[in-house]
Amino acid sequence: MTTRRDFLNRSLALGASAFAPSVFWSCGNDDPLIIGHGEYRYRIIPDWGKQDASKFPVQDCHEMVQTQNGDLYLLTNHTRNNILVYSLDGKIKNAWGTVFPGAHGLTLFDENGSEVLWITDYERHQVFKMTLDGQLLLTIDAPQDVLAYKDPTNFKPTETAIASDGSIYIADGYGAQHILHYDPNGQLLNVFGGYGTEAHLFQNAHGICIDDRKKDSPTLLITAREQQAVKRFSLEGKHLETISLPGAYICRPVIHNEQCYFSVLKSKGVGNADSGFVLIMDQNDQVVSCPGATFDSENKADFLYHQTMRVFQYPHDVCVDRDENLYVAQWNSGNTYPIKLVRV
Amino acid sequence: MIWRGLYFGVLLFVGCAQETIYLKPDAVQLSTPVVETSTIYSNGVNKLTAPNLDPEATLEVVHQSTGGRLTMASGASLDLELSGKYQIRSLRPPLQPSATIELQLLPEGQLISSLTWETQPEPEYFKGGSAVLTDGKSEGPSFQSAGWTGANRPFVVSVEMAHVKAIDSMVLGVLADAGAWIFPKAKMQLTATSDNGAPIQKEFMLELPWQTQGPSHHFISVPLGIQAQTFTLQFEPALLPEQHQGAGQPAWLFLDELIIY
Repeated sequence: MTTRRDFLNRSLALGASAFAPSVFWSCGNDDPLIIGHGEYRYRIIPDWGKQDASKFPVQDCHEMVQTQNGDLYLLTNHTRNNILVYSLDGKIKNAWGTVFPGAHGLTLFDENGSEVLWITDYERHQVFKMTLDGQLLLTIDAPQDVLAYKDPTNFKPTETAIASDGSIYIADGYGAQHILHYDPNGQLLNVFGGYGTEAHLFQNAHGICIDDRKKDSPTLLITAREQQAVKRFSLEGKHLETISLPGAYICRPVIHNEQCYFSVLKSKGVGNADSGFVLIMDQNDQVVSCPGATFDSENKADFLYHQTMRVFQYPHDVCVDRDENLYVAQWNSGNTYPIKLVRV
Repeated sequence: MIWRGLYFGVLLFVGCAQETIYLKPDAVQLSTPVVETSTIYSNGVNKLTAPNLDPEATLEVVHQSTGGRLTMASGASLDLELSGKYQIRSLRPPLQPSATIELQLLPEGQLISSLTWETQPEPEYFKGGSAVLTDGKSEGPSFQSAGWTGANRPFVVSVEMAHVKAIDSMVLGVLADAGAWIFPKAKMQLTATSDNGAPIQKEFMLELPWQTQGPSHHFISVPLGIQAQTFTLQFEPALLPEQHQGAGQPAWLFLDELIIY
């Protein structure tokens, strides 16, 4: 199958081969840094998303998604503009949202041809379904018939995943570590997970997604960030397997084509500030590239993933566009805007 | 043909006018290396490794007092034979060198036949038992690691040397971590009996400059100047200083090594 990226690469290669001398001479190409491994290597555009902070300020840049028309939606916890809508060239097309002080999780879902956003707010202890232009459609509060949430402030949701039937999974990654399953109308169906070290429990159930790469048997991938692992569950909440990624504090899994991408907040080791990177796994859960970090092509079980160069500070999400370029949103990184990685 | 050439000319012009600013290697710093040594002693069998080193980087190791410089390729190891401080960083031009870290190696001490914690330890911070104090290994910066022993109330350690010898000094491996209320300041009382049966009692103040940065490992040297085979050390952790949010509360004292010279 020819992908859009293959087509673009071939077109660019053809153009470059015909006019290479003048292109290189005219543009003064002097070897940008390339990071990553194997087929997943990238050039970096650090200022891709940079804006005038007096107009479009950000605090933590938590998550990012791409809509069908190509726009990129960034979620920040700055209440001047919780959502910044970028065009692919890094310009702001729209900005909205002033009521999400704990804006954290951003999930895009195509609901019968109409795209909606799911936003989690761990300070308001709520989850919101929104239109792309910021109209509120549904609010989910802490489920007070669940013992852990008698005090609703225990509910600190970090992420949502929406199944093909529209049902909603919420990861309470900063709260009681439960995974809550709701029907499309917000009625609670199931609760599983919780805090602990056993295989079916979590320490920081930070991110969640539906892994639909096997079309007949979709599963849930849930990160256990403090445990440096991603855990696979059935949609009914049964633990199936744990994939350990020693040293990598992974934030949320992002499925794109056959790969699963992770932003890694930091490397293991106290005192290692600004030590994040990006990690990419294939459909067999083998790590195929670690832009900015150590990499082991043999995927040894005890291999320690660790940043090797300080390209990133604290990556909190990675968004993959249709051309398989990456956009890295960062937490606690000096109010910086997303970095673009151009796949080469 | 002319039109086609003009078309590509315009494309090139537009392309150059909006040149993409990619990150260049000389704008990026290598990560601070994590180094591991098989022991804290410069005993001729000490191997240094750097497990997270960039595959294309080299590790530069400079012995501070002699200026001797060694380099090591990624994945290799180095034998360190000299005592003293080493300055270590990773290099991979044109990337910027990493921050420099410091490693200190000590000469081997006298043989300790037993070391016993006489008071009730804090189980949570005594996972490795008192044996960690004589294992010749320097623990990492996490106080939760089993290689650290810690307390925030007075505790007593008794030491029995293999032979009666003049004891010149003692070195303690300590942790500083202001955020975790760990402050290497304590009163230490030494009690022993000399060869002729006379009691010996000495008091010392252990103290490092107040550390506000993240966790860090240090050595404190204490001149003892006694001759004895057994002695006890009573440690009394200090109170947190004024500038700390917990000022006036007992600080935690964490030890990972006790070496007698």
